[in-house]
Amino acid sequence: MKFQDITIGDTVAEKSFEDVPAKNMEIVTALMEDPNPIHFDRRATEQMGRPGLVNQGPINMSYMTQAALAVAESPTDLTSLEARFEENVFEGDDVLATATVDEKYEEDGEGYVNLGLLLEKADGTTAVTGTATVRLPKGESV
Amino acid sequence: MMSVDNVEDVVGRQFPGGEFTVERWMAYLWADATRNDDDAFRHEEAAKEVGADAQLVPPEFGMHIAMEGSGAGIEGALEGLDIDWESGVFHGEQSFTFHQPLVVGETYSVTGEVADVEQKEKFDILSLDYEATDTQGNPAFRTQTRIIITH
Repeated sequence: MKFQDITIGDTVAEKSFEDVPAKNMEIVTALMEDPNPIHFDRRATEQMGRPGLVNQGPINMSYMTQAALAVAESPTDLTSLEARFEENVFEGDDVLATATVDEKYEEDGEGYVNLGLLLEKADGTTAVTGTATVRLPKGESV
Repeated sequence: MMSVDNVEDVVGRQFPGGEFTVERWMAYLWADATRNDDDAFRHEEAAKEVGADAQLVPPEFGMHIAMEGSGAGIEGALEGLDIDWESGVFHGEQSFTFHQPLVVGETYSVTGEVADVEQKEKFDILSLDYEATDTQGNPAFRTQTRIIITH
């Protein structure tokens, strides 16, 4: 998308991730050498009273990043990213990542948008909130 | 029981420091595990089509680059704390500032520290700060992690 085609308040992307798989949590656990049993040991999550394995924060963050980058011309245009993890996402959950334009501005001749990010579960629970800054090219409107 | 007995001994602790190089398979599998269908994170030629010099690394993987590159990892970052994994350790917040795109094959030098500990009645919040530079010494990214430790 072009900078001048963006309007504050626009929802620029929605990305759905259905049936969050335990297999992916195991891959990320191995990649990160993460000893936290909530991501791979159902006995541990059962003892904690959780309904299943817990999706890692970085995976949830990735879902939101993908929504943010839907507006970018290249992944190289992401300049900042933040996430606040409000509620757990569990194996089997369906989640929706949304990116909304909060602010747009120009700096050093380049255009930037600040996006509000949201990851919601199917029951409307907010799982993660966040923000991202993406650099957008300035050019002729499409 | 509080998970941090002596906050003064923990806050300001510097991690050993070190380096981390993202290998191709790490970025590829991370993209798969996060259901990211952008092949710029899997193949160099796709990355070059979007203006990158090499296969791209998913941005949030920077957390792992930081933790491992700092020489501490996850467990080293929690050293000195009374961690009961069965009680619950949760990721509270994560933030990044990127000065350049993260790419496969680049060796990132990382420094990090325990920036703060907030003690609450039923949990503590541990804040970790990391900074990474590339092989040329240019800033690559900065990241902050807040971990919630229940007790």
